[in-house]
Amino acid sequence: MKQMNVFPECYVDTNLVGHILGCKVKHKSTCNEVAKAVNNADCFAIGIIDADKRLATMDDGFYVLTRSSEADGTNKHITMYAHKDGKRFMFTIKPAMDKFILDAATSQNVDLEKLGYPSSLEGFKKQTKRIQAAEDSKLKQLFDMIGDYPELQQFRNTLKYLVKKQYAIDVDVARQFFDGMMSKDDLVAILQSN
Amino acid sequence: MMTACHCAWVEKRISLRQSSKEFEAGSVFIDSMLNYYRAKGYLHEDTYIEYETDYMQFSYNHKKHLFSHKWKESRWDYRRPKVSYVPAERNMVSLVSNWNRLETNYDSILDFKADLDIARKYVKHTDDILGTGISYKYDEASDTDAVITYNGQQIDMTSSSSGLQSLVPQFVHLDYLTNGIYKAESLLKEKTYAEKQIAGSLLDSLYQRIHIKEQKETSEKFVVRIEGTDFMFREKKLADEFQKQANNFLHTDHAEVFLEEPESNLFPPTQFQLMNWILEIVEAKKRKNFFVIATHSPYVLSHLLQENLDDFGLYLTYPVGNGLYSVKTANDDDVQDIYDNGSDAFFNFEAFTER
Repeated sequence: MKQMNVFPECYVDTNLVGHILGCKVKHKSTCNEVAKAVNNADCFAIGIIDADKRLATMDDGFYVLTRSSEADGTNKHITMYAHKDGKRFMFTIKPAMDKFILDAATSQNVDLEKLGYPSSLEGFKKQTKRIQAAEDSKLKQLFDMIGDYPELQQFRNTLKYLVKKQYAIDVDVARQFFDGMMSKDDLVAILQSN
Repeated sequence: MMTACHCAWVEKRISLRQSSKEFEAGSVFIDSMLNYYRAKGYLHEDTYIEYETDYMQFSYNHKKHLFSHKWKESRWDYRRPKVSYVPAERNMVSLVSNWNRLETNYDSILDFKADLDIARKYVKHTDDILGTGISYKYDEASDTDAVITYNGQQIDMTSSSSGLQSLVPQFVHLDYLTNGIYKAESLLKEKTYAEKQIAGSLLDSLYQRIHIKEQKETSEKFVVRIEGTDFMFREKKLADEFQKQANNFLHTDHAEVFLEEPESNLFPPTQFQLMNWILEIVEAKKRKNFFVIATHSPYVLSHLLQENLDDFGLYLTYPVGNGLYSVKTANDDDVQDIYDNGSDAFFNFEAFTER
């Protein structure tokens, strides 16, 4: 299967993004490899990294497009960067994808232990750090169960929009998907119009 | 790395004996190092080694065959480490089944084998090593090691893959050093005569130093019983101080591991699993374990750099001509540049060492 030019770093990111897009993505071993791949790409590319790791230097053309915010204005989990060339994007997850998923599970009243995962962050991290986490079907089941978590919905809609449009992306539309101003129905309408 | 490990071992030996005498005779300091690490070809006429910690400072000048040692103020705060050198040749111990019968000098490989022997007898069995699906089993009756694959097939360690022959001894040894050793030490074990002598002499030194501080005229007595001997104090505060220091010197407090090429023969994702596990050991608050790791793996290097560890140093070894090498401590800018280079960092080494 052809791999999409989407570069996640953690195994759990790889699983989630592959699950959202329904395709193979190009897993990178470390955050610096994600940054390198996206910095050096002369084509459509998306990078996804955890914010609690050392940040590799990003190309000067990247700027913060938008970030998901708590009611008090602080950054919830995800920040979206866009490149001035309009075809490269980066997402940073604060502090990391496992905490984001755990918060989503808490918010959606999903019992991790019923799926065989520890409910503590430390215990869950141990599971997501395993190589097997990149393909784990139980994780895919969990992603479906937390699918209504607004921040995940918005991330999913944004990713799908970017991957579908690639070289015809309207950055403002991407931002609206990310900010929740455009919904899944809008996405379906856009996808059907092409 | 060999020099650093040797110095950590010398420091421990001096601390436990409260004397540096054994290294002051001619070239004992350097000879013991060259033999142990099979490093004879690396000695130069002008070799000079200097080592300093919070507890002591020592140096060796090969031209003068002179070993000098000085205590520092915190000498009594020393905490006994388990110093261990894990050689890159560790898979040899998996490959050779009758290692004990080989005639060889006492060196780092044989010492690793001896340590591993203790570790495997303690660990005995480990399931699913680092998420590989491979388990380990030591059979005491036949004194052999085996690995068990996902489908339950048992394979003798001598016939297993090179990756497992490198990974399993490393894993079993480090698991024991950072975990099992403390439980093993808590089990009563009769000390050898030599061990008793060293412990007795050390306790006398500690007692003399603390006992002399006693000023209170009182009939109260506080007895601290250690190693079968009673130590008497009139002040509880001093008795407690003695007890604490004796524990710090007599019982292993943490591990100081000098690990050569942990990546040897390992599939890159397994290198990651191994580093994740080592980072868990380092970050555990209970013990101040530290690792010195020599690596040629971009995966190991990038993984360590991306974790943003608090107590982390990166040292670059590079040739400076005439067969000589220099070591550079990477500053923040170097670290960021090396990190940005990712898997290509080793191909751009000169850019980091020539500035």
